[in-house]
Amino acid sequence: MIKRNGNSIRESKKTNHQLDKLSPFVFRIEVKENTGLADEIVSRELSEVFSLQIEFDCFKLPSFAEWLQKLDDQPGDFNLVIYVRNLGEDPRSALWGLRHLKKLDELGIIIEASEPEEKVEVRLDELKLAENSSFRTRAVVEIDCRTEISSLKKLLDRVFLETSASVYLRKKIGHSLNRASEFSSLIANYKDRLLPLVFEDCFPEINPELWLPEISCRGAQGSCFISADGHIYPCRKSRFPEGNILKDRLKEIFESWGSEEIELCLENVAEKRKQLLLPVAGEKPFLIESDLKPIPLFRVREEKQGATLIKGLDGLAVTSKGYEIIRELDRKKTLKSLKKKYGGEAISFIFSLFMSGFLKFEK
Amino acid sequence: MMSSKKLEFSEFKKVLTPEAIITSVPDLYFSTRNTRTLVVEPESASWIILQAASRGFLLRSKILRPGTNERSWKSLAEIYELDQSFNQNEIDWWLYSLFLRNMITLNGQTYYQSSNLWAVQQYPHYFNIHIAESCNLACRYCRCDHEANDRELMSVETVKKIIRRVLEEIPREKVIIGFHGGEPLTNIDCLVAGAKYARELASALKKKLTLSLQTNGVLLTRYSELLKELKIEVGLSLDGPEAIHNRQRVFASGRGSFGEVIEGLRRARKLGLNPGLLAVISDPQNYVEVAKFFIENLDSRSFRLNFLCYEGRAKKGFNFEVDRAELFVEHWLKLVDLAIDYHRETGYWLSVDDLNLFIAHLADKSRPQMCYRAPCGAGNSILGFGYDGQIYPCEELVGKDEFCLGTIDDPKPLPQLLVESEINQQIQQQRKVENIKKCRTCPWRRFHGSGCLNKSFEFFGDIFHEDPMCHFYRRVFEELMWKTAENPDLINLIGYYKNYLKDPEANFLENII
Repeated sequence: MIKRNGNSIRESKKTNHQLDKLSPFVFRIEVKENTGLADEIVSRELSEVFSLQIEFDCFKLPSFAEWLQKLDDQPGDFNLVIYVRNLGEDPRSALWGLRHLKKLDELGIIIEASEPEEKVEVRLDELKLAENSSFRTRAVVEIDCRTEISSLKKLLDRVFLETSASVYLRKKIGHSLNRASEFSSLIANYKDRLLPLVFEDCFPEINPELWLPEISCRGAQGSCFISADGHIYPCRKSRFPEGNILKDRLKEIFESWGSEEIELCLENVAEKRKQLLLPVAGEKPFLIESDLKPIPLFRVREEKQGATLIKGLDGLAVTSKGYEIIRELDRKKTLKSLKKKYGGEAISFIFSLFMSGFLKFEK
Repeated sequence: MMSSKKLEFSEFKKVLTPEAIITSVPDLYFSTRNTRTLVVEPESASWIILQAASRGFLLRSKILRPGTNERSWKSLAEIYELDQSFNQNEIDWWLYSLFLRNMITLNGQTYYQSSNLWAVQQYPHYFNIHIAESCNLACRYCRCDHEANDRELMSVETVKKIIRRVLEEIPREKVIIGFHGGEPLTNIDCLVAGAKYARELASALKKKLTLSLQTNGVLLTRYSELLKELKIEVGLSLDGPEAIHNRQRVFASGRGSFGEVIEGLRRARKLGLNPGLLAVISDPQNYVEVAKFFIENLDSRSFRLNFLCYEGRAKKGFNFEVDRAELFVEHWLKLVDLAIDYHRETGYWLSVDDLNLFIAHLADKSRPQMCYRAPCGAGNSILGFGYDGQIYPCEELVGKDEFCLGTIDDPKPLPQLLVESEINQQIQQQRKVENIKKCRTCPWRRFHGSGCLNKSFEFFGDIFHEDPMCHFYRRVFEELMWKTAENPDLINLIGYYKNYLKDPEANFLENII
């Protein structure tokens, strides 16, 4: 038996095989017509990209469909998530084209919670049509300072009742949340019922336990946002660009990735999130049988130094030594054999990957 | 942890020491309706429905942790202390129920070792031979889309060569040879010679052989006696009552074939043949009407209803709306109510393909039907042969040059051909759920598999996509979970698939906690 005694999970997560710096693998991109950004993206090698979230105001046929097809044909194993504010004049044709994208993982319909009811109704119809057309769907609900809690509740209730879409909540840029306590109660109620509700970005006005665990930007930890003019930011709400994709190479941008704004994001969101999710374990021992085999659940992006392990929106940068251990995880080797070869530190490393959900154990 | 015998609650309790550590499992799927939540663990194809009390407790204790990869962990003693309004036995039962479904780990371990659950068959056992590519009907949705005057018939020499090679070279003890087409009864000499030769050779090689044939029924009156003599199992395509059948299944003149088909069925039944009925449903509103026709007019309690797919002639003649799958779901689910009513009235359970199979998938990890595995059965469970002796990974791919693996005249042994064929190897790799983007994270991926390779090819033009009707499967699996949890008697809809499962009843009980 391999016995872990008294260590905190959080301490164990910071093993010698892990690095702090994590450059983005999730890209959120705003695409508008005639900005040059769209053409630039399909002309680039997208090896850094593991997930590409593209946001359109209105889905215009045939130009956007053709562009997306080119993107879909790009080499690389990235997932596409598409957000649209409306599916355009012919939603069925738009969906027919989108269905043929092999990389498309999810389709998000943006619904502005403060819009007049008839407009919300149109968006809900689009959401339902998308779902019935075999898309995995998200209702991206955008809140602004005018949003009434009662109308938000009505909207969310309808999404949950009439569709199986997940709800992604976000604030309109430049807007803050009104009636934070009522909003908190509403969210807590949905969470208690296990309804799929995720936060796209920060909601510091409410209890962090409600929004931090699932925050999809992960506090600039592995994700970035590119505006329609090519500026690259740590998140959708950032004010200061880190570079411009139309002028600079991504690798160069990421080499200097670490401005004060990013540091703040990491500290206030990513770090707090980790503390919330991986609390101090206490004094009790955790026993793992040494004949268990670690089974990886992640994908790997090789880096100059080591590698980034990626699972969904989460990433973990590991050292060259860490990557060497990772390469040994062939679904056959046991913890015992890994310990023999790499020592106890390797087991702490594997254990921290288990706790972060990056691998599982099998017998 | 898992053995062939299910872990009993009493055994589980023995390992539940106060120091035992429970961790949450990431990537569970949750779907809430009113006070209840369906939870699905995708990789082991496990599911359960939580009531408000268990849901509240499991959430508060973070044993369930939706939306994050990070695991929470607690010792059993800490879990007991959280809320003393629940007794320990009740909490143990909840933990046992989740553990049996891979929804928690106990000291880092899960009950099922998912990597071992979904083994792929090594060699095919089913060989589908298109002895006639031509047909005496011109159905409006024909998958082959041949002209009525094509005369593409297999020679006796070719059918014998195929049969000899599959029986001699493929290391399987049980073999099924299916005669297909086109219309196989239009090449009766080849059928008779092939069937007799297969029987003789299988007997000499001591292999267990099943012969089958799928016919449109037009020539069944003439050949029923012969088919009975040859001991061939017959499947008959009949789309339902006359008006529905004659809309699609027509001669080249446009005249419906219902009269000939019904006459053929009567003749076959009189002789003791009992053809399995198969209807293609082109309009989802016809599901119940067709089923009732089979039950009430043809006295059949077992039949197959396939939905019309986007392929062949159907692409031109039918309207494939982007959301058509949902319409099929809505009407297909009425078959469950029909089956319940029928049982109430008669005491008998219907066996409707694939409703019976889907129930089997909810009850057990066996995946007896090759089309619902990942990769599907193409090239590993089935081979198709064209009238000209060309070899394909599946019957549905016969005639598609992109998938031709070779010819029966190639001296290379068939197992070697399968291993060395780049096409076959690409299929075996690409059609795994982990290699198809939309399947990779789909909660239903182990219930439905990666779907039909041919349907993906026809709809999307490649083999890198999901099954184009995957929305249908997603929806019906979830609906069946809710329905069967409420009414466990629905396990009886499993029909003949019960014979394939290890212990379906044990796996079907107490799906609500």
